Amino acid sequence: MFVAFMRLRYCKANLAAYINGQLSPRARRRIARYIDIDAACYAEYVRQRELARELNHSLPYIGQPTQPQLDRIWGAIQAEMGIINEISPNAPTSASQRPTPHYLQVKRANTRFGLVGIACSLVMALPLMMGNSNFSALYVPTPPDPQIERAFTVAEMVSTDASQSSGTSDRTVRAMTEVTSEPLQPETAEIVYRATPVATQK
Amino acid sequence: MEYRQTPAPATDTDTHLSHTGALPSDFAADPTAALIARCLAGDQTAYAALYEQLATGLFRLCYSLVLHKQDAEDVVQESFVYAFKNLTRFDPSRASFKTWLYTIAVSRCRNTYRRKLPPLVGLSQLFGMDIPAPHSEAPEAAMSRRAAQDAVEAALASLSPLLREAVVLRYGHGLTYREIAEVMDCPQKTAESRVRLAHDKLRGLLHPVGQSLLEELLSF
Repeated sequence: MFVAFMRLRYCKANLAAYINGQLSPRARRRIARYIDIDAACYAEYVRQRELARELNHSLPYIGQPTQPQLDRIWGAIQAEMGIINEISPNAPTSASQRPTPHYLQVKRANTRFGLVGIACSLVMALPLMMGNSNFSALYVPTPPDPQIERAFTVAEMVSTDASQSSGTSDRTVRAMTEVTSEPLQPETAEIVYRATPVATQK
Repeated sequence: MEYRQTPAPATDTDTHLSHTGALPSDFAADPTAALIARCLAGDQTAYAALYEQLATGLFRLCYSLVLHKQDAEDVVQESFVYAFKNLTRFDPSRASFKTWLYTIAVSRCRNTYRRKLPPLVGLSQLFGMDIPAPHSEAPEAAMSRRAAQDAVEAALASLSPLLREAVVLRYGHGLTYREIAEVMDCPQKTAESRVRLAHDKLRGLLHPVGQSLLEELLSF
């Protein structure tokens, strides 16, 4: 009884594969033997075989497309792929009628723009790589030293003054004092001296 | 007492005697390989030829899974576009082009029926095309045949998506268990068990069809 139960259980688990020819030779022989000696296994085999035949007969008819459906789908594929128009599955064409598909054209344009972008980045980063931080786009100017700023301001004034007349160093000092409202420190004066046009120095 | 003869071992040909468009010869690799090579070389007529070769089967597969005409068209279009754009990634040593294309389509079908609720499918919608009747078919026989096919389709719609995929790939397209496993992205044993479970469920659903109806159906 238990043996018959296990035999039937084995058949039920493997009959679909047996009918579909998917078992190993050893397993197929075993199933064939069980079908031959056991009535329950044989009945199960008949049911499974008829089901398989019915499915094989009916399923291929489900969802058969019409030609207009297939043509519509092909038109949509052509549009998305950029395949040249009016190529039907049976239309002959010559080797000269093979424009580049649109998706390939877009891909090439993106590649070109990408290369240009990389080149521009390298050009902008080149001074930085060479150590000249003054030309780097990332250079952040620091606020100037107030004393130096005053000195340059005075120097500008002196140069303007010098361009108008010969000018003397005394007048220069007086002008600087007026601007700064405090006497210049020696180091600042040196900076001003160096910034002052030669014609005005004494 | 011997009341029966030992049944002959089933072969693949047994299950494909009445197939339409699902014979194992569909998997011939050489003509497809030549077409793929032409596609990669830029021959656009090769794309059209590939489409013509595989579109019908792919549409049948997609329709059987998503059970909706418009969705099936969308999936077929997306599958072909993806396959054509990624032809360089196809490896003929791993699977046939048809299996690869079916894998893409099944993946997209799964996205489709995850997005949507199961459709309320009428039998008339499910049964898409007029099936050409045999020339000498009697009206009663045509009705019987139609009833049997409607029953199969309704039973198919009642299966879970995974079981439906397995049984459609096996009986609708003649794929082996190994190919089913590749398409469904599962182990081969899992594919076998899904076919078996689909068998069990369909047998219970199709039992009321009756032996006489099956006899009549198989006589066409």
